[in-house]
Amino acid sequence: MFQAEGVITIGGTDYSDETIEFTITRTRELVKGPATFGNIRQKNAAGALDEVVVITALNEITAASLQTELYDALDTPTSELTFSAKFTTAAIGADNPAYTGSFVVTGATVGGTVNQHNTQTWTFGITPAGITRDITP
Amino acid sequence: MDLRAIRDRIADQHPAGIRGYARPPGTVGAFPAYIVTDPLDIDYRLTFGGRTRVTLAIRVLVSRRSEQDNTAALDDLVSTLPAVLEAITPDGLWQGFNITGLQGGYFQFQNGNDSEALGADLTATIDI
Repeated sequence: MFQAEGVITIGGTDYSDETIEFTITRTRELVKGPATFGNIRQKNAAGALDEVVVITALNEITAASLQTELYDALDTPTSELTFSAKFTTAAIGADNPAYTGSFVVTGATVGGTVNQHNTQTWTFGITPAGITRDITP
Repeated sequence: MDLRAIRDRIADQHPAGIRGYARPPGTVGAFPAYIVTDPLDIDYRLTFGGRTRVTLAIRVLVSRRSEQDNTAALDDLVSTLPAVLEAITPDGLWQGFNITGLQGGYFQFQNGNDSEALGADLTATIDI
């Protein structure tokens, strides 16, 4: 799939115009069990579920920027922000879901390198409520 | 993105004493001058919101009639013109306009069939 325009909302604000990358990665830990005299095969089983979002964005410094939203979130008691990601501009449906949830903001970066376009990448863990894949039109 | 309007505005907002060209002309009518050259790169989808980034060169030219002539005038222009161009108000055409460097050093520029000029290319990025 070629990634074209989409809609990325964080903390209730549409930051599509600043967001360069938004990915959701869900992984299960692999739990290994030992082989036995009765079965020489190592036993593999699914362990804990981990979910993270990776965001790369233009690192604006305006009051209405994503960077400011992340910076301020760190000062809140939970340091959590809601998100919604739709990876095309088409209406929500079975073939074009919107992914929603909340992540824990664990860092924010201000500033950059002079005479270069300023972008930053952040990786945040999803809250225990998990991610919802919304396919309701 | 309206690349035509962007180039026109960068050329039209030239400071006094220097001519601006929105596109490479057949012949530069008078020096000093700068030319908004053709795009080197266009990133049509910089963000999910469809922000666009154009990279192009601003060619700065001064007259040259003999060897080493007028180099000081080009020194002055490459020193001062970047800040002047970056200060052009965008009139809704772009979000950011930055001159990031000079590429390739100074060079001889053949202007039409007869006169020569001395030139330098300033790299510009325009966020739309």
